[in-house]
Amino acid sequence: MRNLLDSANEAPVTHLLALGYVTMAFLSGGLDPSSGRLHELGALRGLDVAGGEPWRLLTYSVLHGGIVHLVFNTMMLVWLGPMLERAYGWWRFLVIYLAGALGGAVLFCLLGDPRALCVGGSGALFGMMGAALVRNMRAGRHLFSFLDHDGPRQLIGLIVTNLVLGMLLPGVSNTAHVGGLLGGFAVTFFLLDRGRGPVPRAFALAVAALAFSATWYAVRPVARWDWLLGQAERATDPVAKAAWIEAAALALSADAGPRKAERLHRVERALEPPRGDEAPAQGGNR
Amino acid sequence: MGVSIRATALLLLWALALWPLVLELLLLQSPVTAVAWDLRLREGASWTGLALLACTAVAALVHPPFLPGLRLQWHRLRQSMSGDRTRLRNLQFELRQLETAARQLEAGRLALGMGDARTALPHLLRAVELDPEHLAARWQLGLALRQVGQLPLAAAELGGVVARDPAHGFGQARLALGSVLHAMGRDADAVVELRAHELAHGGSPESSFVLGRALLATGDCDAARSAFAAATHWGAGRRLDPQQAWYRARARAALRRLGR
Repeated sequence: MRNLLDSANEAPVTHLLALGYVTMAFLSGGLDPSSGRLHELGALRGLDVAGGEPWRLLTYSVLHGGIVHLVFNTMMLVWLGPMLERAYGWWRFLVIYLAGALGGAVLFCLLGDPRALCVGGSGALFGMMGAALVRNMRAGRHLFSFLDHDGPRQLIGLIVTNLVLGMLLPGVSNTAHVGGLLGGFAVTFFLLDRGRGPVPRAFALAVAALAFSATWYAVRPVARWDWLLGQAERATDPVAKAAWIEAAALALSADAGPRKAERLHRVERALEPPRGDEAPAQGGNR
Repeated sequence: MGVSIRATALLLLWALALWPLVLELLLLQSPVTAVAWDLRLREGASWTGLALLACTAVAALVHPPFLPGLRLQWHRLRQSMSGDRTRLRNLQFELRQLETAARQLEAGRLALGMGDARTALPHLLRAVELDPEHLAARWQLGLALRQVGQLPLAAAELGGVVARDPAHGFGQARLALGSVLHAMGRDADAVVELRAHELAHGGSPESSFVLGRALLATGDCDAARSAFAAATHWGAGRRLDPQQAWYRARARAALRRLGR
């Protein structure tokens, strides 16, 4: 008990996050939570983020889809977290975790199916691995000298193995993993651990602008069919409504996703003129 | 090359970062316009990627030195990124306390080794100022001047080094002088220097290739052909360093153009 308290004192954010994982697992229904419950608690879905629920970009990272998922991620957090928290301090570590979670969520929203549900702290954990990579890069005489040592090479091996596992196992979003890795790496490299050399400010600024605009586009995907269809459903002016629907149909025409037929059917239904026995405004309302 | 890669990467990052803003502006006009432009961009990006791949394949087929050239650029980029700047920064700090020609030369040499001739130049100029008889400093200064495109000044420095010590840098000073003279259009002088270099030091793909180019410029096609052929025979069955491999590939292409 004393050891646990000492450890919690040294790495408070890691322990709070682990506690958060377990608490949310209980709240979501224990060993096998339902999709509906996870969605209620803040699981990530592109449609919802674009529909005005941006908090899902972070809340998904403390929810898990089952006991194996929870145990695996908690073990990774407890293994990697204290090292990074001791190295960078609690608030920097928290920034790394949040950047990883945000990076994973944004990339998932940008490249994934907007209807798919995503939960888990693995995006943020990949962000932590990205930060550990930067720590190794900054520790050497130059950025690549860490490749001469076994430990950092094993870290790269771990990242690659996890990405390969993500590709092989069904139901794992590697998009979120890659996004988390990039988010954690970028925020540490350009902001938190800039090393002794001159900071490439032009790159830091460009990367910050890109991160901001990617997050903006995840929240307001103005050229994605589902967002356009949502706008059409909300529109009351028939001309504007027709323009939104036309834009949604155009966006869908280039989409070769697995649920294309279903989506096309939805657009077709929206394009149908309202029947005589229905009020025209009701057809478009959610 | 390093600068242009950085500039291109920055440009791409900013273009990607500004795209959502552009879409928002287009959306003000009409949602259809915004979606049409978004689709156009995506299609354009895919086609650009494919076109780049196709161009690379065609360039590798049509111009064989293309791939060794890529290898050389990658090698230079890696060298510039993996250079230990700590030593250079420490030296620059120490030079504020105590300045000697040897330290200035060391700083210049380190910067030049990382491909940063503009940082190296003031250090090397100062080293030569402090000790005008320091041949190593003059040689490095000649190389730095060549890298920044100051060919007449580079020729003067390298000529001075070769006049004092014809075998300086195991003949590398003479080779550099020959290359600079060829680049300046003084091909007859270049041929003399390069032949002297090959006679004394055995030559290399670089020296044979530059000699071939200089001979070709003077109109001696047969001699040029044999110089290019000599360059292609270097390192048969073993892997040359990226720079020499690039010269060998260029010599092969030149020989093919001339006809064996």
